[in-house]
Parts: sequence; C-alpha cells; structure tokens
Amino acid sequence: MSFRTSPLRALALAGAALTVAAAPAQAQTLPTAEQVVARYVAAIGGEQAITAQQFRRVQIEMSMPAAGVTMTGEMLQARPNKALMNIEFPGIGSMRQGYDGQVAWSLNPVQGAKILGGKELADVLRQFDFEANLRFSHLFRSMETVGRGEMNGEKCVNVRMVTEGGDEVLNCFADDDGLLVGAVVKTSTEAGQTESTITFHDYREFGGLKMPTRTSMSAGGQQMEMVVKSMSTDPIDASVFELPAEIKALRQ
Amino acid sequence: MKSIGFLALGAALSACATAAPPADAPSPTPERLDPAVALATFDSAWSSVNRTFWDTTFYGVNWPAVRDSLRPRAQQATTNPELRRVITAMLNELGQSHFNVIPGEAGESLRAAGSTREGDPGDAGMQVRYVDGRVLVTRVVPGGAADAAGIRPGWVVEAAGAMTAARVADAVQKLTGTVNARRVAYMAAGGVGAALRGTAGDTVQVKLTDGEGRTVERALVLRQLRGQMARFGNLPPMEVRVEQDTLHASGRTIGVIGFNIWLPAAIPALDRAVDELRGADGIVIDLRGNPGGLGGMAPGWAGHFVDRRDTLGTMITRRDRVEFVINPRRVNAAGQRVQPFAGPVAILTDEMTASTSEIFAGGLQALGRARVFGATSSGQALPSLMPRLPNGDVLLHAVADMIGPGGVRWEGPGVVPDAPAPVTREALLAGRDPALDAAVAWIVEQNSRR
Repeated sequence: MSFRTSPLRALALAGAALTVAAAPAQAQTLPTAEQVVARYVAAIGGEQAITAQQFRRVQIEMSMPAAGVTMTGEMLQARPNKALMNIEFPGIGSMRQGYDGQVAWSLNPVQGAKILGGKELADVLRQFDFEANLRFSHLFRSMETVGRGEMNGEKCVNVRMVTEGGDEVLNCFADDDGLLVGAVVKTSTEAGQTESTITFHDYREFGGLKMPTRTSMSAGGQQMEMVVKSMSTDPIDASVFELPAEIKALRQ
Repeated sequence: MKSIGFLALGAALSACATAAPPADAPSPTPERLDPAVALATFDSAWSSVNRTFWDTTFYGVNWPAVRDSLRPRAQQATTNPELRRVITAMLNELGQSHFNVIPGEAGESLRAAGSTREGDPGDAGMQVRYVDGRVLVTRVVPGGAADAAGIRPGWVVEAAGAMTAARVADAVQKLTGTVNARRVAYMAAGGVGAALRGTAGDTVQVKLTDGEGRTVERALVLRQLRGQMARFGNLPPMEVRVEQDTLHASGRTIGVIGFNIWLPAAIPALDRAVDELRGADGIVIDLRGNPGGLGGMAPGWAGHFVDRRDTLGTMITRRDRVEFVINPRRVNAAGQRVQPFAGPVAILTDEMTASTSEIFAGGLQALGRARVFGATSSGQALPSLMPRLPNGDVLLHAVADMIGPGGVRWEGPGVVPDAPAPVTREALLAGRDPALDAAVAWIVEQNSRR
C-alpha cells in the first residue's frame, strides 16, 4: 500500500478486493482498525486469494482533462516486491519506475535517470509490496479508527493510518461491503507537501481478487481518471525487472 | 519528477507558457454560437478559476461579483470571438499572467495570428522587439523571407500588414499606466510579431526604416517554419526549434544553446546539445523570446548544470507545495556515465522571456549557478492548466503561485539580470549583440581566473 496520489498507489489499492459477504457494520460502536482491515481483506477476496497470486500485470489508461492528456500504462509485479511501472506519455515518451528487489529507480525523458533513496525509497517499497493490501500493520506505524463518514455517496468507517515517515492516509471503508471507497492522503517529501483525494469505483474480480476498475484522483486543482483495461496473473519473465542500462550506469 | 506521482505529474504538465497577444487580423465570418453553449463556456471558465485560484481571497477581487456582472454579456454573445472577449475581460480582472482563452482549432489559432487561410504555418524569418518607442528588427534568420528581402537587424518596423507603427503607438498609450513597461514591450512586440506569422505562402507587406534612415517597403512571402511542429495536450500545434552554436573568444570555446519553447519535442536536441558542448569552457543559454512551456522541463534540464539535489522553486496551490526538484543528470541519453556541466553558465533574457524560462533562469540565478545577461524578463511565471471549454476553446489558467529559491518571486518583477545589457538600435546596426557579447566576455574572464 502506498500513500501518495500516484497511479501506483491507486493500482496497489485497487489490486486488492474480494467481496465477501461481510457482516454489516455496527451502527453504534466503531470497530477497531484491525477489524476494519480484516473485513476489507475478506471483502477483496481473503488472505488466501491474495497470497495465491505470484504475478500481476495490470494495464491502465489515465487521463488528465485539465491538461488534455491521455496516457496508457502497465504495472508489472512479482513476489515479493519486484515491480515495473511504465506510462506512455504522448509527446514525451516512456516514464518508468521500478524495483528489482535491490534498487528502486525512475527513468523518464524529462528528468532523466535516478536511483531512489531515503523517503522516496521507503515510499516505493510500500507501493511495490505485493501484499500491500494485506500487510497494513507492517506498512503503517499506526492505524486507528477515527469515526464514520461519507465518501463518494457511501457511508464508511474512517481509519487513519500513519507511515514511519509521518505521512497520513485517511482510508474510508464502506459500511455495507467493507471495500475501500476512497482515501485522503497527506504526504511530505522532498518533492513537496501534498494532499489528495482518491475515490474507487466499479470493483470487479480479477484472478480471485476484487479491485476497482476506475479510480478518480484530485489534487492541486487537478483531476485524474484511471481505468483498468485488463489484469492478469500469468507468469512474468524475471528479465523484465532487470535494471535499465541508464540505471546500471548510474551505479558505476 | 520524484516519481510518477499524480501531483508531480501535474506539476510537470503545468503549462508555464504565455501566449503572445493576437493581432487584429482579418478572419472569416465566425459561425453563430448557441446561447446555451456560450453560457456553459462562460460558467465553465469561471468555475475552473473559482475552484483552483491559489489565493482564496482572489487578491481582493470579488470573483462572484465579476461573474454576475459579465454573465449577461456572455449570454448575449453570438460568436466565439465575442464570447472570448467577455471571458478575457473576466480573466483580466484578476490581474495575473497565464489567464487566456486559446481558440480551439489550430486553424483558428493560426488565423488569430495573422493568416486568413489554411496551410502549413510560416513566418517572415525575423524577430522584433519594442525598444525605446520603436519596433526594431533584432534578428534576421538566414535564408528566411526577411533575409532574402535584404532586411537587417536594427531596422525599424513602420508597418507589418495591418499593424502600423501608429497602431502600436496607440496600443502602447492605452496600455501605459495599466501594466508595467515590460508588459507593454511584450504586447507591442508580440502584436507585430504575430502579424509576421501566418500560413506559408501568404504575403505580408512590410515597411521599414533602414540604417541610413531610408524607407524600405517589401512584400514578404512567408516561408514554412524551420522547426518541428509539435502538439502537447490541449495546446495548439507549435513550432519547436533548438539551435546550437560554438563561439571562440580569447582562446576559449563557448557553446551557445537557444530554443524557442519548452516542449517535450525539444528534449532530445537539448540533451544532445549539452552532451556535445560538455567540453566547452562555458555555455550560454539563450532564452530571449522563449515564452515558456512545460514547467517540469525546467528542473529536468537544469540537472545538466547542477551537481546537487536542489530545487528551482516551489509551486504553491491552495493546499499543496510542489517543489521543482533538480535531478543531477549523471547519465546521458546513450546510457553513458557523465557529470553535469561544471563550467560557467550564462543565461540571456529579455522582456519576451517568460514563464518556464523565467523559472529556469531565475532559479539557476538564485542558486548561484548561472549569471543572467540582457534585459529583465517578462514577469509572467505562474504554473497553469489548460482544460477545454464547452465551445472547444482552451482555457489557460494559473493554478499556483511560484516562489523561487530564497523566496524570490518572478511574477511581476521578472528575472532581473546580473549584468543588464539591453539591445540598442546602434548595436544591432553595428552587428553586435550586447547580451551575448557580455556573456561571452564573462565566460572568458571566469576561465582566466581558474
């Protein structure tokens, strides 16, 4: 699970969802964060379904209407945390980010090549954790239920989660089925301080797990829509996750 | 870009570009506009600004009152040009840069820039600036229409198409006192410059005063643009041109990189230019006339000249602060290990240098990494977005304030050169370029101190 408003985060969040006939939420008392999360894990498919998957390949389409830009992308993951995300940006080219199990990196024509460290590395490791939607207690320093609310027209339980780095996520888990309805994410990195709102829609089952197929993100007055076009759990060749030549050169 | 994060992506996408003022050129009779579309377009523009303007007090402007006063006029607009005038009047109330309506169709944009017919875009192959109350030719492109007609730098433009010196003077008089002198110069040169662009094959009648004071009249047949035409997002197609040169002075080799806009299509040539000039004794980056472009390109390209993690500036929206983080470029496009250029860097600016160019120039200046030569820049440095409106036009609207290293703010004051070297008619007629000459002299001096 990640806490930033990246497509990666949305994908990670989206990549877990099993509908289980969840018990109706208690109207009067707030469940504990652990209970809410356990219900969510069950709702997206259960621990067994999550741990059964070895690979994920998710193809997406993203649009930013305020910029008039539509992008296509692909996220590849292999246990335990190898990952490659590639977004094809019209007019710019390929914007990539990855982790080969040892080195996290980013590479794109605008900023060039970069090896990620510090808080950036910690963020990416959370984003790329294959079981991000299962291991909340490992990925967050603390989590607590802070009340009930409503998001995207659904009543929900708000669970506040805080990372080791101090970033805050207010996750909103639906009262009716336990699925994640949305999140408000506050982060602080060397790239700035941001607050964003994410909502998840149209959950569908892929490989035994439920995930939202449409995600809306809002931050800084901008909107971004992400649609999952397909997802598979077929094996992915390990060479896919090898470092690009530019990153290898950086390590010399 | 920190990662492929949404906000960072948004920052990178922020169009830090300004639009030159359109000339009052003839255009075909516009189609009638549906009143419902007119109103929806006006409301959409108002709401976009209402939702995203970074200062919730709108710097004292009563934004709902502005809507209420102008909405009836929008409802009565029967053509897109009429509606644009109403929306522009609304946006002007804010008194900030980067609030413009861009005609929706590329052809319409082109016509707004002076042409009356479809075809490949073209220009007269000359650049102009408003200097001391006159519009001067500051550069003639070799092989262009102006060059072929014998026009030379330093000549005074008395008329370009319908844009006469008298009309410019009248516009300047109306603008004076409402905007600063640099903005006046920007608008005046922009208006004449627009009259010198259009469709390749168009003829533009020009009247000039040459170096000896004689009146010269020429019919310039616009030639196809030399650069690459590129689109980005909702922006209309624009020419992208990167020029690279090597000068020799006092035994030193000095690279010069000039480009006309910050669009991604320029990135390969910009990266290649730095690679090829890596062994030079200094590099001059010529941003004169560069109106900006994609904001994220500024910190990206700055990484070729800065060997430490730093920031060119901070974009401040209503809720967020996004840093323009510089990533030192230690690998070239061929995947080879390199070091960012460590020699002296000089940047040339003038009153037509705007937006992303100001963030780049002002940021490197504030970080002590570059020395700026020329004239104070435009002072239009706000990150903006460009959503499409219901009538098909594009709304350029700023969504953030921009603060540079040490708290410097370029919106308004512009980037002030360390070494002012304004252009003069005498220098141009003598074949000199005061800003470039000063930059070269400084690089030579820096090297002699090493």
